Amino acid sequence: MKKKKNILISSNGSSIAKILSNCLVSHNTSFINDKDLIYSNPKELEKLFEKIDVYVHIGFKGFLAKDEMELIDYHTRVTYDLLFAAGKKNVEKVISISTLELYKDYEANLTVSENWETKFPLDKPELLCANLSEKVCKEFARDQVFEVINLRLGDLRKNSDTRLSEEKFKKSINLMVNLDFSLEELKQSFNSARKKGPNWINLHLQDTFEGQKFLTNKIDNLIGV
Amino acid sequence: MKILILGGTGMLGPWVVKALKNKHQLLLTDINEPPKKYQGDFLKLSVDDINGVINAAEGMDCIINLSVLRHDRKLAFDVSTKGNYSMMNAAKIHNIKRVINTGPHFQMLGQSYEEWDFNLNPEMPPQPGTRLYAISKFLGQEIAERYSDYFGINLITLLYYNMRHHYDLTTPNEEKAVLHNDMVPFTTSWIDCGEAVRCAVEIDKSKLKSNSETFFISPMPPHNKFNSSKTFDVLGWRPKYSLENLWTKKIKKSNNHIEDSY
Repeated sequence: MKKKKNILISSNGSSIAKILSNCLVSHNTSFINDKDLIYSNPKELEKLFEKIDVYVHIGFKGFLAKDEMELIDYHTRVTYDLLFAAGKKNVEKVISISTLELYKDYEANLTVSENWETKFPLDKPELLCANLSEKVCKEFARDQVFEVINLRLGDLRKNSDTRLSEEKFKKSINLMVNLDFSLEELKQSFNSARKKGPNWINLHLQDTFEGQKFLTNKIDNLIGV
Repeated sequence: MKILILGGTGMLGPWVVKALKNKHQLLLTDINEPPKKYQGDFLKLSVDDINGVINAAEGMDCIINLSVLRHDRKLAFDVSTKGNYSMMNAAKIHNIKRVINTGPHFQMLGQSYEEWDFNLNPEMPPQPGTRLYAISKFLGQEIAERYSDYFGINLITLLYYNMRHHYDLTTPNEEKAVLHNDMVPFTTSWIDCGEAVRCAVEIDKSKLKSNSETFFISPMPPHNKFNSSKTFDVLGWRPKYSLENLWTKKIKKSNNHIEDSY
């Protein structure tokens, strides 16, 4: 039996936060609320991360902003402040929730996987912000503050070629919470001396079916689809 | 050219004005007033005031961003990240096709590069790490590059590291450099830093291989830590000062003044 983890989720008002809450019922979950984000000194955020094992940061459609500048501020400065505080409190793992819409500008017949660079339109700031949020998380992983799994999700609400069922999301997110970075699949050591995988792992997540838009072999291998 | 300069009264601004003022029409903006000696147009403006920047950019041919704020968390992101969002939106709205952005070398080459490798060059993918100044500038650069790519705005990014006066190797608020004792491996004279911006303003677009190009503004000392050959080859920048007294054990003396001048 896996130990229950203490999991902090970055917001509680969005639909994705509610789905996350349902998916992580077997753990102790808590949420950051709007009042927590009113701070004069970033050190005040550290109390949110007391005894937290895993922080789930929603980088796409997880924050309601009054305008585009506030949205950018949240996905850059506030995200930086939250992750900085998480590092100070020795959070072991961060799961960044992002979106497969970051590949919106590729043609549908291309075999887009985690190896492809993101390419998205700039007509709305949400996708730019999802990209910026990923970048902030990645630099914390690069500096070995904690391990980061960047989950780019398909569509949890609509039946489309990127649809993602709550069932597959639940299975995946629970696996991510407990994922051991020293697993051979992640190390890909090939006779090297590596003891663990990289601190930054990108994973694309949508349902597996004929005509699915994005390849999901990497996560399907991990969760055993 | 009509040029909007953002953050124009900081450290680099006066040297950029010096390099451009007799050839171009400048509108200097900053939250701080310029010195009384400055005779040109000035507008008090914070770079994160998106509407203010959009209004100031109307009718401009080029925008130069020199704004910087390093230490305060909120202000660093306001200036370096949101400031670039303001600037690129202004360029998009007014169809301004050339933007010159400036920043520190470590917005691209953070510790994970600098402490490990040599021949570091401006074609490398960025690794800023979590240092506040580096990451806030890097995120601004990410915004600028995305806008450049998507809206066809020509973006030239100039990266600097350590700037010194050529005459005494001092710089404001920094310790005096020690001569003949090895150097910060990317040290440039202020006057050459300003001249690099002029090169970026005036370069013919046909010489640039893509819509977004980055240059290291550094002479080429022999240590091979950073490679700025692209700046010489493409931008056509020729620094007047190599600052060699920082990286030679003895003062290099001229044997023949006339011949050395060629």
